[in-house]
Amino acid sequence: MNLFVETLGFGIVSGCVIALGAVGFSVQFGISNVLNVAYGTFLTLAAYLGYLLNVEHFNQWLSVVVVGMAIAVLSVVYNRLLPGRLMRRGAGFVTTLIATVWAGIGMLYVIVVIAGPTARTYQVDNGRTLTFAAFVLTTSQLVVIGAALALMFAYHLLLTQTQLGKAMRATSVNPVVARSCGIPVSRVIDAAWFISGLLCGMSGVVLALTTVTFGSTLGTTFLIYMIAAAVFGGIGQPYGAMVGGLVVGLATQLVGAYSSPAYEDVAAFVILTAMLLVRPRGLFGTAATRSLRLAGG
Amino acid sequence: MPTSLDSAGSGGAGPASGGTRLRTRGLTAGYGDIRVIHDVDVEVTSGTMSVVVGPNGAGKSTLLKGILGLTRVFEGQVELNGQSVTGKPLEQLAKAGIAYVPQVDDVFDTLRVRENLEMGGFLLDKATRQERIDEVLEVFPDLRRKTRRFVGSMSGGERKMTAFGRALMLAPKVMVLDEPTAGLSPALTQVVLAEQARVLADRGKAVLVVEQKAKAALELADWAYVMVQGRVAMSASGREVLDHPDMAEVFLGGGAVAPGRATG
Ligand SMILES: Nc1ncnc2c1ncn2[C@@H]1O[C@H](COP(=O)(O)OP(=O)(O)OP(=O)(O)O)[C@@H](O)[C@H]1O
Ligand SMILES: [Mg+2]
Repeated sequence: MNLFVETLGFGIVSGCVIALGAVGFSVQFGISNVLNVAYGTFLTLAAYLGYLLNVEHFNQWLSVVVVGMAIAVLSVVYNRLLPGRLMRRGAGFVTTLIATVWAGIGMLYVIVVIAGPTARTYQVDNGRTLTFAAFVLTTSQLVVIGAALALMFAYHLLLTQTQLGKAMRATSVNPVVARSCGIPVSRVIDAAWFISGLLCGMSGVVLALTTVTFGSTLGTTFLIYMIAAAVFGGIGQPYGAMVGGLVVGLATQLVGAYSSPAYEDVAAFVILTAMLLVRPRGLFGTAATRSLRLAGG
Repeated sequence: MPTSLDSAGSGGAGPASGGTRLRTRGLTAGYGDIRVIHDVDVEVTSGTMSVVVGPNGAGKSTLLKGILGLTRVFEGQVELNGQSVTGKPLEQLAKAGIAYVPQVDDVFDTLRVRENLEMGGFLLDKATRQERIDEVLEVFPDLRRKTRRFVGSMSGGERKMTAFGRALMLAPKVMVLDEPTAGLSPALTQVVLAEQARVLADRGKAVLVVEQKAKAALELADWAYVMVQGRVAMSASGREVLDHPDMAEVFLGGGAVAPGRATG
C-alpha cells in the first residue's frame, strides 16, 4: 500500500512532465501537420544545455526557463528551415516526416560528438521532503507539479481566450479560410513552434533533473512516452495529451515499482500499442483523425 | 458542342462600371504543370452579382483559386480596381476587401460560431469586432442563439450562414462564393441565393458566385459566364444565358433536358 501511494506520487510528477512534453509535441502536429520526430533530439539538447548551466551552479528553476526559451527559439528556426519550408514547397506528409527523422538523427550525432558518450549527472536540489498522509514528496516535485498544471491551464486560456490561441486553432483546422480572414498564418505557425519548443525545452531539463543521471538517449526514451501520451489522448489534441501524459506517467511508474524499472518503457509501448489497436484516434480524437487524413491524403 | 455559344461570348462588356471592380484578363491557371482554365475573362462590380456556371470539372473552382492566389497562374492578370493583384497572397486580398467562401471546408469546424466570427474579424480592433458580430447576427438571426455551438456539430445551412457571416466580418467589397448551395436542400438553396447572395449584391457588394444549380443562379444574376472545359463559352446577362437554346445541352443538370430545347 505504501509502495502504491509512493509510486502514485512519482507517477503524478512524471506524468506532469510527460504531459507538458506531449502537449508540445501535439502542438506541432496539430497546428502545422508536421510529425516532428526530431522533437526527441530537442529534449536531449535541452537536458545538455540545462547541464551546462547546472555545472555553473545556476539556479535549477531559472535554468528550466532559460533553456525553455532557448529551445523555443531554436524550434522556430528549425521549423522555418526544414519542415515549414518543405511544407510550403508542397512536400507531402511522409517526405516531411522523413526529413525530421534525418534532422533528429543528425543533430543527435552532433550532440554526442560534442558531449561525449559518458552519462552526465546533475547536482539536484530536491528541497525539503514533505509528508502528506502516506504521500512523500519533495518541494521540488511539488514545484514541478504546480508549474506543469499552471502551464497547462495557461495554455488552455491561451487557446480559448486569446485571439492568438483562437487563430492557432483556426489555422490548425482550416488554413485557407484562416488566411482569407487575414490571419497571418506563418506568424501563427511560428508562435505555435515557439510554444511547442518552450514546452519541449522545459520538460527536457525537468526530465534530466528528475532522472538525475542522463545520456544522449534521454530524448528518444521520453519521446516514446510522449508519443504514447499524445496518441492516447488523440494526436493533435492538447487536452488529450495532458490526460495521456498523466496516464503514461502513472502507468510507467507503477510498472517500474511493481516489476522492474527496466519495464517502464515497455509499459509506455504497451499503452501505445493498445491505443493504436483499440482506438487509434485516441480518447478525444475527432479533429485529429481529420488532420491525419488531410495530411495523409 | 458549345460552338454556337462561343460567338455570343465575344465582347465581354460585363456589368456596368462603378465602385469596386474585380476582373480577370486572359487568366490561364492550373495545378503544377497542368493548365486547367484558359484565357478566362470574368468581371464583377459593386452592386452586382456575377455568376459562373458550368458542368462538373469545367474549372470553376480553379478560376476562383486563380483569382485568390491559391493556385498557379500561368498567364493573364487579376485586377482589383485596375491594379494587378495577380498571385497576391490571400491575407493581402482579405485586407484589400476580398472575401472568399470556399466550396468545401468553408468554416472552422472545431471553433464555436462566435469564435468563427471573431476570426473573421481578426484584423479588427476589439470594439469594432464586437459591433460587427452584432451586425452579422442581425443578418443571420438564426445564429444568435447558437453562438456557443461548435460549428462542426451544426447543419449544412447553419454552417453556410456561419461561413457567410465570417466572410462579412471585414465588411468586404467583394464576395467570392464557390458553390454556396452545394449539399443544401432546394429550399435552402433558394434562401442562400435569393436572400443572401442577391441581397448582398443589392446592398452594394460585388458578388462573384460559382454555381452548379445554374437555373436558380441565372435567374438572379446580373451577368453570367458559362464555363466549359476550362474556357468561357458564353458571357451574357443571366436571362440571355437562360434563354439560350444551347444551354440545356451544355450542362443544366447534366443532360436532363433534350438537346436543342431551351430551358427557363
Ligand atoms: N488540386 C488539383 N490538382 C490537380 N488537378 C486538379 C486539382 N483540383 C482540380 N483539378 C482538376 O481541374 C479540373 C477542374 O476542376 P475544378 O474543381 O476547377 O472544377 P469545377 O468546375 O469547380 O467542378 P465542380 O462543379 O465539380 O466543383 C478537373 O479536371 C480537376 O480534376
Ligand atoms: Mg468546384
